[in-house]
Amino acid sequence: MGANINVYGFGKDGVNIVKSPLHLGDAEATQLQNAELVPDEALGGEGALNKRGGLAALNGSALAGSVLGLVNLPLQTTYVRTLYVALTDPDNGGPTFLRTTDGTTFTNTSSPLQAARRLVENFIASPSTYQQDENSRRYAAFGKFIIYPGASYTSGTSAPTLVYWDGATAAEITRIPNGPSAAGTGLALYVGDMIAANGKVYFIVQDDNAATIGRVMSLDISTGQLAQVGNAWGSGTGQINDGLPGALCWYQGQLFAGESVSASPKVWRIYPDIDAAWTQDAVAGVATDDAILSMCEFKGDLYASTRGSGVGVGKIYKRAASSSAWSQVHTVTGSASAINGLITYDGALYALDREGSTPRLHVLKSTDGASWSTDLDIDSVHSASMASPVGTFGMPIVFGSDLFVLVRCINPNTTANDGFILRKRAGSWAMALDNQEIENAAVILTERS
Amino acid sequence: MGFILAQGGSSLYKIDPSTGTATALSLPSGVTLSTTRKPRFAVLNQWIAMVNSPSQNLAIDPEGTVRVMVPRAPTASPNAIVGTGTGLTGGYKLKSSFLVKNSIDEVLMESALSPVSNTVSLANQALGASGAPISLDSISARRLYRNLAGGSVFYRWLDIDGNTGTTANSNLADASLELLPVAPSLIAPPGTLPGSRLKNIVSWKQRLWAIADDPALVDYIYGSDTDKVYSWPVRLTAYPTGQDSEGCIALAPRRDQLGVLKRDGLWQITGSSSGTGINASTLSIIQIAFGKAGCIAADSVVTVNDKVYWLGQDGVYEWGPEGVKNISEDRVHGWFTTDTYFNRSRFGSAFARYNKIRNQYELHLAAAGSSSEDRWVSFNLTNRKWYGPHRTAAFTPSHAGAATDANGLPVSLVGGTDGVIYVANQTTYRDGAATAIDFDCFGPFHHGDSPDIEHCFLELSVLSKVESGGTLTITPYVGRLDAAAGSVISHSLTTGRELLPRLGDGAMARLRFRQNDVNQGVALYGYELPFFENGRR
Repeated sequence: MGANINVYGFGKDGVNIVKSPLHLGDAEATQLQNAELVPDEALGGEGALNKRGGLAALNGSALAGSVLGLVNLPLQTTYVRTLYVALTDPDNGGPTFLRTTDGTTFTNTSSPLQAARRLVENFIASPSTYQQDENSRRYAAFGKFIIYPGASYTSGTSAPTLVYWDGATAAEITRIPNGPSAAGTGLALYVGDMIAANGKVYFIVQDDNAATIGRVMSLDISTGQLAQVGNAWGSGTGQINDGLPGALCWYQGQLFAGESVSASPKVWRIYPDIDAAWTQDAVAGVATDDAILSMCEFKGDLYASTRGSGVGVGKIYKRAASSSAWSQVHTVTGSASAINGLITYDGALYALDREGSTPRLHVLKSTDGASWSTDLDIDSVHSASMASPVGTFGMPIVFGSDLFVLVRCINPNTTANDGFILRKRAGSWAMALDNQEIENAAVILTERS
Repeated sequence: MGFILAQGGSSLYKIDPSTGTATALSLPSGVTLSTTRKPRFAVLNQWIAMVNSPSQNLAIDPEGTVRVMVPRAPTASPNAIVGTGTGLTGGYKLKSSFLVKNSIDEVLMESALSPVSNTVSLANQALGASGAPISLDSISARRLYRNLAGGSVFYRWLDIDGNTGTTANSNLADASLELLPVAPSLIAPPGTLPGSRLKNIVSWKQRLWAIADDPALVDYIYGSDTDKVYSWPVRLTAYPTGQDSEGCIALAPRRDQLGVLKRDGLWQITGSSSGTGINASTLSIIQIAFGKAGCIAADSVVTVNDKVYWLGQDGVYEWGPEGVKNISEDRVHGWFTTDTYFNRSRFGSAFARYNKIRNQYELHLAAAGSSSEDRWVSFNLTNRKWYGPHRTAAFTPSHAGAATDANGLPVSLVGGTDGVIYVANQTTYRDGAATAIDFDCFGPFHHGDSPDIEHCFLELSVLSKVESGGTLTITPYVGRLDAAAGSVISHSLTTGRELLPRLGDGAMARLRFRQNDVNQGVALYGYELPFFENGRR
């Protein structure tokens, strides 16, 4: 008797080593080494028994030993940080920012919206120009975007704007609503220092020209809610009857704000989500001080730097964590001199010492907050880069492992590109970029992909 | 684009899934990786938790920054002292913790709390702190808590930024403290201090779950807070305790159940789910398999949808909505219950992966007599059949897993003792750079339902996918069960169908198919074997 054994589906039933050899089905096997079913007609299709696919090396360079474990994180894990330095004169459609990812190579970009400039359109001339120049004018980085004051308004006529840039999209977030005070026009005039802390962005607003009225405001990025923090500031508000806020710092769970435009400027503090009003922390300055220009935490203590009024000189004060008491820890020379830009970098506290008539622009450094020395004599080392009159203002920012000092150009409306950027890298200062029309404001954008 | 985190030797790497570029990551100071303990990972809220191999539990953020998972708690409290200022009256005391914050002051990690401090009595004075503890870990702040006047519940008071300052002073009124007291969940798991370890960890219901290796803790299951890698308030017990030196071997997450596997049974954790995970107060744990269905290899546990697979003492088990069952005993029982095929003494080192492209559970085992996991078997979840044992001559597998490529598509990975991670399912049909894949299959004995009768097996016809080259080697075995190999027959893979020589006389005929050329695929559609009966002898 003849017959055919037709096996179309060999291996379909896999390995079977339970049955006796006489009872195995035609589609079963006792070994299917490196064989598999591939449900893809192009490779054989269901019913065919395939050689298994290959194992291709993923990493060209071997790891330092056996692969003992692995896990996948399928998220956006590539972070690119870019330092954006605001440019001040894009009137003719020029770039709005300088950008760098390595701190060495800078390129122009017109994609972000123009930042508010030190011009009458965006900053009033009165009561004092130092609000534009010496006060902290930081921008905020929050998540995947940066927030900063935009330039598309006219101070005293329309409300200042906040804008954002995420590396791809530039847009206005909001305009600053009028202040609550009955004094003056109530119209917000400009946006000053800005920080991201406590899950929000806090920033300073000046509300009126003549009466030096201001507010500290918060922006909740997740809800878009814009709110005033505590009570308003300034003469005529019926609230904090003193100067307007000039510098912000988040310290020990509280928001600290230093006064600007006030003899004997004070520091105020508030628990933003708890307190309804600011609490005066202490009189940080003396009568010959007229503004707190910057504040920074260092080794547990809070530091504030000031500008001297008239014959006054710039100083640095320290608020001891142990006592909450303020004391002067450093002073510089020269009437109306100023210290601004307090910042921590590489385990030390830095600041900028500026005096206009000598003139002088130095980078100060202290490793203990008590002893200060000149880390870089900018007006001497870089005299060729300094504008005339020498002694314009700088602002520091830490980017990666470098410290940058931005020295803004003297006159943003001229073609004299006399601003420059200094960089401290691996302990040495160098000119990073010369002859630029920069503002003394910068921010770091973190893009994630 | 994501990355693959892998331990190679005693180093940790971040690997680009697109280019394969591996970047060694810096470990926190003092933390080392064991080369004799396998790392175990879990992902929670964009963080990777890593345990077992590191000397302290680690957490890796999306950027690849490696931190200890929970900073070690302050061993001493700050001193509560009379501060400078006015405003507070009553007895005050302090606790502190260590914080890691991000750039916008959000807390990423917080240690357990310090012991409570002394009580200082204030009479319209400010509260001060001195001697705030300094952390041994890399932190960004110390958080101080205080009570209300005379109270025993602690509220957030203030943060001392950095890790150097030791003093604080504040007259913040009781009424101005945060409304909610300090979270009672700031509890560190084993492995926070060097010496003890978490030996396994999984993510389930938006929490991390882990088991420890300390002999006194092996029957406990630890659970984190929702979305927090650093806060571990949950501890459950898989009773009976103290029955086995290993205690809990592995955790097996399903959609609504978390399995706990010991060597001789399966426990199930359930609770009431919520939009944010699971309510810790409703958790319950019961044993659902006793004396069977235990697990012998922690790295063999793989979850696929709502089913979990693992290697038990006597085979591979599947736990799903239909219950728990042995899925190997009806076909490949001998693989797991005899010493013929695999070195069973190394079952504890077995590891598995889910090959999503092939829909297979692939279990790596040591061949009989081998001291490394140099074989693997696969269970096809579509037809529920077993394949293998497979092998490669290119390298010795040391771990396996699954990932997604740069486009978010699934890939199946096998790591080798050579420090290389290999991507499976390649249509190049070679392992590594140029190693052939040895396709080697033994078919059944064909006997036309009359094995007692002598047959004459005629010309064999083989049908296969048309390839551009290559041959399939066919070895016939004609005779009784002890038939010797006959002369090798070559089937050209370029033909699609080929009539081959007759096999000859014998009671039964069996075929062995082999193809061992590099870069050569095989798709065997089938074969036909005519025969007639010679008669009974």
